[in-house]
Amino acid sequence: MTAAPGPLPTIGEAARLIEIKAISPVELTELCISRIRAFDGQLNSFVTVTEERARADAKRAEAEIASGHRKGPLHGIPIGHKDIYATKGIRTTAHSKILASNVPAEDSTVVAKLAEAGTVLIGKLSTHEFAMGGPSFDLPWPPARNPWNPAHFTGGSSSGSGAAVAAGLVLGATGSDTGGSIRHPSALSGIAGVKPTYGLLSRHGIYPLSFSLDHAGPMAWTVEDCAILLQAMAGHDPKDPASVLTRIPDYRAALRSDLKGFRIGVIRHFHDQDMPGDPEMVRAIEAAVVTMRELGAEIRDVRLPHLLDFNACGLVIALSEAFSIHAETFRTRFRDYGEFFRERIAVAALISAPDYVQAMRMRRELTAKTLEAMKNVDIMVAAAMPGPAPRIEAVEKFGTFKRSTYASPFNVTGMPVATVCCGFSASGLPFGMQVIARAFDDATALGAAHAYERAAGWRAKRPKLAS
Amino acid sequence: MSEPELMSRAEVEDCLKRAGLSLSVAEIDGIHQISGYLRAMLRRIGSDRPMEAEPASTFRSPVA
Repeated sequence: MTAAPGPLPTIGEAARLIEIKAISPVELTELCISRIRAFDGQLNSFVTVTEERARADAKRAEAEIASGHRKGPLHGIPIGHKDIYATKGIRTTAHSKILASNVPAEDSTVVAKLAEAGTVLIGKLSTHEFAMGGPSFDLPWPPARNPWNPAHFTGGSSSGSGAAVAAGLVLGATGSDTGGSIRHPSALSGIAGVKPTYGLLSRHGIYPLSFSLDHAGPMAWTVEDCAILLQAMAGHDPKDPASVLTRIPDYRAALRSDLKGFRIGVIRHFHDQDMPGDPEMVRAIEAAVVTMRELGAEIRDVRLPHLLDFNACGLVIALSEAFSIHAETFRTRFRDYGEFFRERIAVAALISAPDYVQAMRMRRELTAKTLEAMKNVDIMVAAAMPGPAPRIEAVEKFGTFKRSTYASPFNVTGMPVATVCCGFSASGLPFGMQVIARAFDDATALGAAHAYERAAGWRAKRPKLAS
Repeated sequence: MSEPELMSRAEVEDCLKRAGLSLSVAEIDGIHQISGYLRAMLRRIGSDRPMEAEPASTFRSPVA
């Protein structure tokens, strides 16, 4: 019997180890491959593992570094991409029969930027079908499972990204977020994830779900790792009409060790009144608020519009835009989609054009009200999910229609959010907290989330995996 | 919380047909059962926000 492969370092740690030649990109990549082989059989976090490509990337990185051409902290770091990110020459399926044999001719912009930074591409990660339909058992690949307890849901739709990072199969991953799809799996899988400001990252080459709500973003074990990934991913791209030409700050330099001088607004009404959360989760949020106060922050309550307003607005826009993307294929290949995706999106047929326009007008109003609520604070915090991960088979097809999410408001407003682990349930499942900043102040959200993460100490705990 | 008021079955069927979708009876049933939640959302959004509330509104219509 062979010993289980050892744990992975974080991206920050690995970058330092590579710099001092204590580990090589090839060794790090082989460690990831060993861990995928040992543990992914029960997690299903990958749709495609690209071992050959990973080994070639790692060898190239090692040679470049040895010859004095180190590109930075991501050089030689193995990562995975959500399988809606186009990868040149590598199957990109959106976890759907519809695209089962789709091999793109070019990389998406973010994939190309991360490759340029020297990352090692180790594979394509599971997603809910087209970033909306899951967890589903009627697709060509099974749904990802939660490394903290494989009987439970990972959250979605960046489900494989959450599972693979939490299990230590990759050091970082890409995700996308239209109504919480980076933040939900980050919270339920106990990792860090960033939904950046709308327009900060290019979506060119990422299969769209809802063009006015879609965000690309990084997922990793720590906020520092997300900052490192975001640095390489951000930037203007004329190929994405929503991409904004703005200065990209040094995100890692914005990471802080305290919160002195910070005014933090806690959005308690989301989890106390609008969509009551699990008492254990609420206690975890309150404990996190105490930690932030001890770090020097001034804490106050803030009140945003009712969660139902944000969710009605976000869901009507998301369904309308998603339907417009899939309408033609729905008419010809409806049954080639999985049940969850096709039936959820078919509900959009009940939405009229004036309904959509009214939702877009409401969106502007909600954004203005949210900015007004932030007038006297630097950042806001809110729960990421109402409780720990449910059992995977308990996730309802139409649950999104019946229950609001705490994440949707910041897709509607486009504001940046860093999600961090803020504790565990008695059953050992993680909770997450959202740290929200003003548009294009992503660095402040990262800085505050990092300070909390370092002080709270939850990063010392990893899931116990069975091979 | 009480269950929201459903759209009529005929209205749901008409909308799906107009969208060009051929669904099974069970699928139509499922969407009909969830239609009340969608209707509640649409009511919450309302139908009276004027043109000036457009996200990209840059001018006032002379006829508004």
